[in-house]
Amino acid sequence: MSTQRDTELPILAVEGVSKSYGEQIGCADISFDLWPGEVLAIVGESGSGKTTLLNCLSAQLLPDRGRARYSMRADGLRDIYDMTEAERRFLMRTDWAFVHQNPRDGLRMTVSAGANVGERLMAIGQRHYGNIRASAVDWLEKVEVDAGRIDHSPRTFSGGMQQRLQIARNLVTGPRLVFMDEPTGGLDVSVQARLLDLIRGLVTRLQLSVIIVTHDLAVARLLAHRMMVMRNGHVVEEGLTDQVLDDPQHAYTQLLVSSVLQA
Amino acid sequence: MSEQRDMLRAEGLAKTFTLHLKDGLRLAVLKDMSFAVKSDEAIALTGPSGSGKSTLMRMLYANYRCSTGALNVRHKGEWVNIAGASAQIVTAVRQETIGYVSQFLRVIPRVSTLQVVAEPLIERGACEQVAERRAGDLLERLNIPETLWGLSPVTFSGGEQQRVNIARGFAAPYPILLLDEPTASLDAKNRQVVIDMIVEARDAGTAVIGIFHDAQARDAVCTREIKLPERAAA
Amino acid sequence: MEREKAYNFAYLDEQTKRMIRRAILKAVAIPGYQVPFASREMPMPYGWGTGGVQVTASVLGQDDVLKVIDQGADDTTNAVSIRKFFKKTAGVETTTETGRASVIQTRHRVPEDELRPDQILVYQVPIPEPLRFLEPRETETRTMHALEEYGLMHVKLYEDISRHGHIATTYAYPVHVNARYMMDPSPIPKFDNPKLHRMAALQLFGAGREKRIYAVPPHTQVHSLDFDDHPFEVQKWDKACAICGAEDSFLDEIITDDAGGRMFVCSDTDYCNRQCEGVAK
Repeated sequence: MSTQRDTELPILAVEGVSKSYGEQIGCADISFDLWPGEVLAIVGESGSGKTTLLNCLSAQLLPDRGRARYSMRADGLRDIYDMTEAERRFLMRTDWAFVHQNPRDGLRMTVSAGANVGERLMAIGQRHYGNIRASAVDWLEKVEVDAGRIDHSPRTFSGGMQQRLQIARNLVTGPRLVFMDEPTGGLDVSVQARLLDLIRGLVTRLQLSVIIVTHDLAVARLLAHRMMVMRNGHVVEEGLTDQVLDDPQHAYTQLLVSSVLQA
Repeated sequence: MSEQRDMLRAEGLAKTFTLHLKDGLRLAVLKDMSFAVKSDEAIALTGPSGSGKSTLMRMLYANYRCSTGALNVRHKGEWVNIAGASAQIVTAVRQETIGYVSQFLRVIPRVSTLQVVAEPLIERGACEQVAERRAGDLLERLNIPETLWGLSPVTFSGGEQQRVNIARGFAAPYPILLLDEPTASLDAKNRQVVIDMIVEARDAGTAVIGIFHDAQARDAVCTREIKLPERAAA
Repeated sequence: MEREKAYNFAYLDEQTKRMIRRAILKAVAIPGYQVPFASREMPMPYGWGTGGVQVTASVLGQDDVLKVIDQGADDTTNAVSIRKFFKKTAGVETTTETGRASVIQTRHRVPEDELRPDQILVYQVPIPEPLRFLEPRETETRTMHALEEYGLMHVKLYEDISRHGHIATTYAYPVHVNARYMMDPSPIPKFDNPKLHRMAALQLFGAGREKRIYAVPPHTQVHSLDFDDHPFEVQKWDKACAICGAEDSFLDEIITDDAGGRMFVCSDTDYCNRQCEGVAK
């Protein structure tokens, strides 16, 4: 985490974000600040509202109430729900990134690995094939995918490779805020460990701010500085990751922590 | 004025665990702890097993939250109450002011020993070369052979892991250093190295607070004891 | 030839033609934008140019002279049938001469001759959406057009270069119209793309099955996509037309026997004929 806390603005300031589906509460009255370089884990079981919250925070879903102000590179904090769709989509392909649980949801499976990585560059106006390709090679190496496979279809990749490719595709434009939805879900344990380690390294090196949704407390322990525990759409407990996991206060958090096998 | 040398002041600290999964059973582990620790003091927390020494250590690091009381720390020249402080403040205090050597190293696969030790310095903003040079010096002093530096400590023995942990705790010059059984599982030679390191830090002005079951280490290092009472029945 | 009175002029009823003309006007007002329209059943199968035929029917007047070409030729089944269709239902004069026609309906080619302001070129379009290749969701492609998110088009070209070493797309080569909308110029060879740029004639595009009409008004900028280090290029032949000797036209390869014999001839039959006449004179 970065050192100069006091003088900085949060990169994302969330106030009272609520979303219901009719009678059903998605997430209720969520507020927090995310600081530059900070990794925040949102944990909870299926149906706890963590995915609804992530979708609201990444402006893929508009909440019923509340605001989420993002620190723009140029003009300070702006409520993402007041932006035009064009502005939000522009953020999503430049300054933000979204890593889906299933790489198929985040990759274009019909084009090569290189084109997958290059797409965001072309989307922001890069028009030099050689440079785009060089960036793709560079990023494949950073996520430990053999650059010799740049022209292969992601369909021929293993699950772990697809997920690393998805990360490269997202990070190529140098985003500052990354949303991750269960990025290690559905992978073998050994593959998970490698991916977590890769993410951890990239987050530190690139000083990324990350909001990661996971039901896996080990993932939170390894990656997150801070965590929020959600249940039935509400945040029941939050704090530094080690505080929440080592000294859980809320009954539900105690249940979660006690349900995990100590490895 | 001796008060000007206070680094940490605990006032009325208490810790009660509420076990919701056991019908809300309440375990009062610590009650009304008040003490102050000065720069260049080394405090040994003593007391019978179960008296809450480790709990208090974790509270001092803001790992466990205080049920009541204030825990003031001199952070960058100002007093900060870390009991109930925000995550930002606690993070800043841990980065700059309080170091903690736990009993066990939390090992992360694929991160090299040298990086594990250098990490606290890099988080404080040191450049990689400086941090790694300092990490190398510490590992050398603690007799971790250089051939192991590039490996993850996953496969190391308990004693080696503990020395890596100590190197990591000493990498940055924290004004307050918390040590939980630093010499356990070390052989005589390395135990002496660790004792020397603690004494040096103390003499250089660090406020040291530790749990030392090893009486020899305790006598060599500590200037004072804080004795925790036996836990009252809940 | 006398018009078949059982049908309304040019087959479609006046209400339908009015609806299509409104779509055309909107298309002209927003160059390159795909305007949805209520495409009608036509007495020919989809893929035979039902979109182009409806557009032609809607712009055709009694004094118009119609030319229909298919792959550049006036004498293929498709061209002959459509020409007959309008002769029968509208009774208009038809021609094979590009210079004489006021409305030219085309499938897969642009005539070699430069067109004039008093001419209309109607293209038959099978798939109007240039983004379809990479993005199958219509809702998403419409948003991408609305927000000018066109990075995906270059992904297609990137794939070409990575696979073939050059941009291998040779027909339906995507264009950027009036620096705003991305457009599929229909499956014309990219050889024809430069002719679209600032063409004096009105260009109308009709897709019957997909129910879309779009347009390029006269003198509009039409830019073929490319990369800085892989600029747009048209096909070139090292041969001239085997019939007329033209060196500047689009050539079709014709297999002449089973022994590998082949010849290259102009795809635009009218142009080829006139080149021959010119040589004869």
